[in-house]
Amino acid sequence: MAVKVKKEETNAAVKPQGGLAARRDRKGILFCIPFVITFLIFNIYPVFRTLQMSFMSYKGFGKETFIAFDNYKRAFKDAFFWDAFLNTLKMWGVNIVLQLGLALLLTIIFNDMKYRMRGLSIFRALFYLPNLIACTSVAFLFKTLLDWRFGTVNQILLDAGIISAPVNWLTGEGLTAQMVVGVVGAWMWFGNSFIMLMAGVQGIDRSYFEAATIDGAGRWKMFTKVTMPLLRPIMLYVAVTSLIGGLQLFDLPYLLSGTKGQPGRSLFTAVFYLYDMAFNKNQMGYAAALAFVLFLIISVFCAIAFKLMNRKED
Amino acid sequence: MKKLIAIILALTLALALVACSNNNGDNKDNNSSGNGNTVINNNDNSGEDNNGEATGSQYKSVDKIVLWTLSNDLKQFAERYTELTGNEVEVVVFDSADFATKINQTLGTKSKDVDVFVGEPQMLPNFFEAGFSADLSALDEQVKSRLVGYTYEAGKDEDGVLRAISYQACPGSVIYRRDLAKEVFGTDDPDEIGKLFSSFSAIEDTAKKLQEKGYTIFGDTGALRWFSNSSSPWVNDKGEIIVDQDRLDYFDCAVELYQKEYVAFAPEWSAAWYASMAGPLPMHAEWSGLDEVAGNPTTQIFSYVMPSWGALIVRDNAGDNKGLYGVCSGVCSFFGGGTFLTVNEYSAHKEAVQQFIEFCTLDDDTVRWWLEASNGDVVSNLAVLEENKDYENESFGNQKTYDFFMGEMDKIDYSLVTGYDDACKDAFGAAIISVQQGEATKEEALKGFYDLVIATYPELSIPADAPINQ
Repeated sequence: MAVKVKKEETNAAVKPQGGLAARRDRKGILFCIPFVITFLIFNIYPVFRTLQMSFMSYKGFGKETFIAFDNYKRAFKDAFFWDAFLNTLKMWGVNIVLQLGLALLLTIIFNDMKYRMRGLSIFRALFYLPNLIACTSVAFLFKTLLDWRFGTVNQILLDAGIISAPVNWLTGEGLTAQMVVGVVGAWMWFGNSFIMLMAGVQGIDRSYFEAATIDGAGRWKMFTKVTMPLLRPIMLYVAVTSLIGGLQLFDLPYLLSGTKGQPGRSLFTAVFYLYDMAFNKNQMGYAAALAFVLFLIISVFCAIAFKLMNRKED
Repeated sequence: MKKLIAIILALTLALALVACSNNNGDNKDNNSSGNGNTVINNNDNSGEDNNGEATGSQYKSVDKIVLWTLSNDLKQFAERYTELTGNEVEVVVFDSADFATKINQTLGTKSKDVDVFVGEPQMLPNFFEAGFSADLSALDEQVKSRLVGYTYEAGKDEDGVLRAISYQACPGSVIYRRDLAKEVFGTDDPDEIGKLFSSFSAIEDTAKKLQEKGYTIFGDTGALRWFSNSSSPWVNDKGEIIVDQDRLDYFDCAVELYQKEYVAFAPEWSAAWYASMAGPLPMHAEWSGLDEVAGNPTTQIFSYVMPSWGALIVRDNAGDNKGLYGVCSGVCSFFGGGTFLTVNEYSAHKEAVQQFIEFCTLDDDTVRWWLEASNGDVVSNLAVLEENKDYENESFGNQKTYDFFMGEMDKIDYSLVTGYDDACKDAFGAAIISVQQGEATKEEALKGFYDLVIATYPELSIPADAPINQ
């Protein structure tokens, strides 16, 4: 009986006690309505509209004809889409290795007791700066720097004797251009990864390091046996968010290739291909199906990544 | 009595106020378009002359016609129309890259904000299919008999209903240097020089002779793309992709010209390409600034392949070479671009807008005026072209350029044009580049071409006699 009374008291404390509180609750709903409406119109509706279009033969104008799963069947057989997807993975691969590697290196340097680096906040801001520059500006900057005849990069490399002839960075070999996109992407986003890894390292209990020091661990051992294992969830998070963004790569290769995906079709990414189908080839229905195929792929990658993360936490 | 006078005065005052407020209302919109694009409003009612009233009386009165366009040409038409009719025309100029998307988005919602919009030939079929363009059949007979044939064909939808009309015609030509022609070939006669461009093998021979004298035939091999519709459509009635012998010759010619450096490597629209019209240019300038490539060996470009508006570009950039150019035929007749006017299906002023289009295209006086105002545009109005066919154009060595272009227009076969042309030309161009740069063999490149076109348009097929099947 006593228990029952206690439960009722608890409920009474949670429940609104009068008309005023109820009105307050309703007012709260009113405050949410603008966001909810905006969210429904600009987020939810486009998703469902895209899904609907993916089952249609639709040019983006005129009649829509229901064709069931034909667009999806076509997507799975479209070698050019899968080539574009592979290009995306290559560019992202270069990007994530450099991005994480550089961020990790800087994290180690800035956390090392011996170096006691000063001005962390200034460096953090400086490293993050490329992230704030518009992609158009970044593309223009690197197109100028990497011009094969007059670009600064080739001039420096030639003067230093590192290369004997100018390298055609963006209009020569497809693989070279893909590497360039990966490197430029890493330059743009390593600051973001650095901030996350720094936060991760600073979140590690100092007693682990103290204990390791007492046990006689050197800096390398401390890094490999303490820092890295405890930092792995953050690194995985950075990698997963980078993968989600990387698979949607569009603006940088689009601009660096002069909107054509050249050399060859090496800078065509999956989203670039989707865009080309939708707005240049007027195949909106097929482009919608490609968008959902891409969504499925990203979902699978995310599921695997989360599984890995959860396993580690267990 | 006092009451009556008071009522009459009050009514007079009220009418005067209404009249004034109408004027204010008209002026109020003068500087706002609401979309951030270039806008010119032409509402000059103050200067109505007798001529204006007389002409204006034929036209239906309308508050305002809103025109969406790609170039500034139509601002001048709008100004003239307003002067003559008193009807206001708001001209909104868009960047060409965004134009089709903008039209699709706006008219997709059945918007009445636009009354008339333009389209280039390749955009028109999509606008027609989407139902954005109103029926202009009422003008069909006039357009058919009074305007250039291919522009009439291009303005019809697949059911043969007229939906767009152009004030321009844009037949192609080879624009060549007369002085260099005399030096290398001993003649600058357009008929004789035309023979040097009459086939792809003739072009290769011509290029070789020019190189021996230190000249290059074109800025780059992209110039040849205009001749890619020489004898067959890219896609036939059976939905098969056609690569005939002419297209294979085009392929081989483009590769040869590139690999033997018969061209200057100055792509169309590059700084070097523009500069070449006035004099020598450095080889391999590509997209660089001229000062950057000043040390390269120099050459002179012999010819440019472009539609009629290209001849005006050459003329305007010729500098001291003005008057040294001529125009002649190439491998085949072709056309490119041209501004077609079409009425928004959802416009509230369809009748007035149709009159505006009629004014721009079928009114001989307007077309005559435009010929002068544009300083040499090639118009679609046959009567005006006929009047000017004996005009000797000083900028082209006193050649009768209108007469020449009229001949080229007659040879244009619009049945060779398909909705797949742009995609096929792009893919074929990419295949050529891959061979030029040594990335693929011809066979691999052709296979890649077919694969790409079919990936884009799965409804198409490869015919049994295709080059890759032989």
